[in-house]
Amino acid sequence: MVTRTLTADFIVQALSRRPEIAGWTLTRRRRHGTQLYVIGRDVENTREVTTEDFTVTVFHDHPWPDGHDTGIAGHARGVSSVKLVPGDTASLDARLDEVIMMASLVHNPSYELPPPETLPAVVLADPQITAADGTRRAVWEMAEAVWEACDREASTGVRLSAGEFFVTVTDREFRTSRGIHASSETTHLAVEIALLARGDSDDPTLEAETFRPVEARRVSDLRLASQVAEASRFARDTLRARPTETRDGPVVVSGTALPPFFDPFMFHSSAQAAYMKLSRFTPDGTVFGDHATVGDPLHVSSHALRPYGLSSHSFDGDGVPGRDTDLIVGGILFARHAPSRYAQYLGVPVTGEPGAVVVRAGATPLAELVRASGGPVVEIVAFSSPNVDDITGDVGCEIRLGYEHLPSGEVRPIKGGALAGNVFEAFASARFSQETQEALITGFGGGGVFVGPRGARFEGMRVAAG
Amino acid sequence: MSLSTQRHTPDPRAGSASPSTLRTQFAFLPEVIAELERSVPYASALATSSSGVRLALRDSEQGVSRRDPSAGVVLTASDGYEIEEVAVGATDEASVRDASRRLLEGLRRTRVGAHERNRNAINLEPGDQLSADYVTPVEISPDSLSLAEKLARFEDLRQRARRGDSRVVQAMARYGDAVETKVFVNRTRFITEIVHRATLNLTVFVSDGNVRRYNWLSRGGTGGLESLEVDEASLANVTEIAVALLGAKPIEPGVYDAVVDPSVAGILAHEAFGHGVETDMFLKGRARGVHYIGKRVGSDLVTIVDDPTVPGANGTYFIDDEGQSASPTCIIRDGVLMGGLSDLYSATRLGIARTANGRRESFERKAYARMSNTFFTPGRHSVEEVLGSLDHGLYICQGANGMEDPKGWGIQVGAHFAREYRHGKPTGVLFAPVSITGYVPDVLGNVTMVANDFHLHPGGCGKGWKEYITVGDGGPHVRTRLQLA
Repeated sequence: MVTRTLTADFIVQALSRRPEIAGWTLTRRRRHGTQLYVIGRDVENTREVTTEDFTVTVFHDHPWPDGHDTGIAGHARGVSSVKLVPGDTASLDARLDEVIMMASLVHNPSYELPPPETLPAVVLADPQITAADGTRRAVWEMAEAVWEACDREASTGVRLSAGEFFVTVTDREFRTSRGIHASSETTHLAVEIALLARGDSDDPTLEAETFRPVEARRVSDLRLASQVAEASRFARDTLRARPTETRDGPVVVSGTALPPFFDPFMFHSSAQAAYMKLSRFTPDGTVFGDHATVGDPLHVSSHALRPYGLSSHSFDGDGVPGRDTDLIVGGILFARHAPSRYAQYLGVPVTGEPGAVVVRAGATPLAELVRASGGPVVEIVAFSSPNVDDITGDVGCEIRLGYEHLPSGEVRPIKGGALAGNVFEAFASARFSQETQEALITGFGGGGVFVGPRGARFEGMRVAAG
Repeated sequence: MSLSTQRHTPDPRAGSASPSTLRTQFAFLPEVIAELERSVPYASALATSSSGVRLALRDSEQGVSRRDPSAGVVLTASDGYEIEEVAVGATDEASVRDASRRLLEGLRRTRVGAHERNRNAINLEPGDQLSADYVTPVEISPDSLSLAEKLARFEDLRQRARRGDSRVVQAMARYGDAVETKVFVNRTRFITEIVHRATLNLTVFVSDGNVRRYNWLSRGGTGGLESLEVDEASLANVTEIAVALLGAKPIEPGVYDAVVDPSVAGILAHEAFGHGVETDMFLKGRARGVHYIGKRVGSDLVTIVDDPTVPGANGTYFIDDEGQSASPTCIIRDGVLMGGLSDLYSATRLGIARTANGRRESFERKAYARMSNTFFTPGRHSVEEVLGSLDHGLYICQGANGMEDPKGWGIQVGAHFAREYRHGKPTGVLFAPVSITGYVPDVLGNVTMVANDFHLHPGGCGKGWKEYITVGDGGPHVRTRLQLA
């Protein structure tokens, strides 16, 4: 048989001829997308991108080297992956030789791929975007929406500096040696906008900027008009913000500044962290360590089934069905999010890879959380970057924009300085707003989606002057 | 054949590449460019590939895999107003010619209205004639070790770190090597580049049963295994500091006399006046620096350079992703802001000289003005003199991360820890973590001593929250006055 370009069937046939492989997974990923870059109303660049690749993961069972652990099944399991492109047909056998050799050299406790199960239906693609020419139409629709929204802000002295608009359609086919054969189609939209605000002065050095990344699976979910309106307000407030002063006292973190504070809770809730002996949480134990819980009860869940959710999935990288899982209930570790491998290692239920981080809202209006009584309350709405250490829970973030809520009712914007503290200590006394938000988790650790309170008030964190 | 002596199979996409094979493979590209330029005033092609091996080693768990191999071509064309690009994850002639056809179709569509959308025409210049081939010098090739030997070498390193103290609960070693190829073609240039890369990261986690801390070391850059040597003192130091951090205190927020080590100095340079002089940010009105060219922004001890030609550094290359030959750029000289780092589009729009800083995350992304290796240049004092000058201050170590603010000139740099110094000596007290904030001209204006040492560190850099590229940053020990929290 002559096959010019690689196909999933061709790879599966090749894998089936390799008895030394103890198991395998195959993911074929086809992506096409359009990218649009604008500076003000000028178009800088329009790009079309098309890629296709295959990721093959193979398992190889072999005896443990002398002196090593005997493992769960008495033998070691090696795993390795290789990525192939359609032009790799002629080199497929050599590539498989190599990946099998690589798997044979590594020694892990054994674990099994999951068996086929009924997979939940999760809608993750916008049919308007998957239609012919849909990605190109969508980037222009997004740009027009931003331009229109910025035009509405022009009278306030705010203008669009630059925008980037990405629309990608990904078609994924997933197969395993256990008989799973699944597919998914997703759409992904990403927008970055930078707005500039200029006050009454003609001095261009006195401008202020707001930068905002937004992602969704449908154009309507981006809420671009309201994103621009809020970013515009932040840019104007940054322009007139005073330097932050050092103070101990209540701090409210709200909006997109809040989600990264939950990263350490997700890290320490994971089965992988427990297996690596890095988790500070123990089953049925408090997540706050020695700190007494005096705030709102902390409930954290992982939701993988939300329609059009950025972190949603019908199946994960091993073929485990997506599901919703309660992780922390009332400040107590209820369950770990556990992909198949680490669930087997720890002997805990398989949950699959996590979805959106869902945090239960509180009962207090945000306006009440920021209300000052004895002294000012500092509300922080934007950090330069969410520098939250997953391992230690330490926080050290520069304040890009905040507000000082005074007992008189006056609200003054502030900028500069830093918020410092530790999330495991701070959340023991945190109170959450009753208003909710769905926001991106941006940061050095990567993305994700947060669904939870719009704001949280902490009593034990410190604001330092800039 | 014994598996332990088997060398890994050469990767046809990158591992076995040579300048001559690249020239043969992409000999059709000049014709593709010529065909495009029958319809548009400027076109270019960039073909890239990368391949290598990645090891991840920790307690009871090992991973080895190909390092996200990729190969693709991006075709660029300008109709005199805008740029249009088509990128494909394939490198064969038929796929590239199909991409060229789609690029022309796209240009015909976007040309309608382009003149109305863009008020100013743009004339992208291809540069002088240049045909050249570049290859990173490698002293010890990663291919000189079998995969089994690499596993054994780095597992041994990990185990030695693991045994350093009873409070170590985990030690992780990550190794990677890669071969990255690049072919740039426009009507005046046909350039090939092969960059070899090797990196090592070792992280040690400790716990006293209550508190958890960690510490790490990083090695590597462009070149081969020669850059990954870890001596016993450095290895012991990783664990000793991790253990010492179990007793570290939170820092009292305030302004401190401080000496920053080269890793922290590098992040300061990168965030303060690296991102701040990327000229696409000038074009977008997002950088205050555009108004300060030729003006003082730091003390006269401050000189900051971006240099993609530093041998062996992580951000080193021979040509940028738009075909510009690498050369150093002095950003700040003796405290005065000299100029920016440019890509082709922003340099042309702004009417300024091009520098070799047009870089892409991959063929799938556009080129921006980006840094390469960014650093403070050394001064005249010894490190001992600089540290000894701290009467009551902090020695800030192990730069971890940073964030730029080119418009507001704020800065955030995260450092792993700081040592307290009194009367020029360490007191043994550690603070962790340490966040540097403040106003960039204050940070640079307060520089009072610059040491004569020089170290570059491997790092990664994003633009906003994406567009990750490899960079280097560093410099000497620098004394300044900092706002810490």
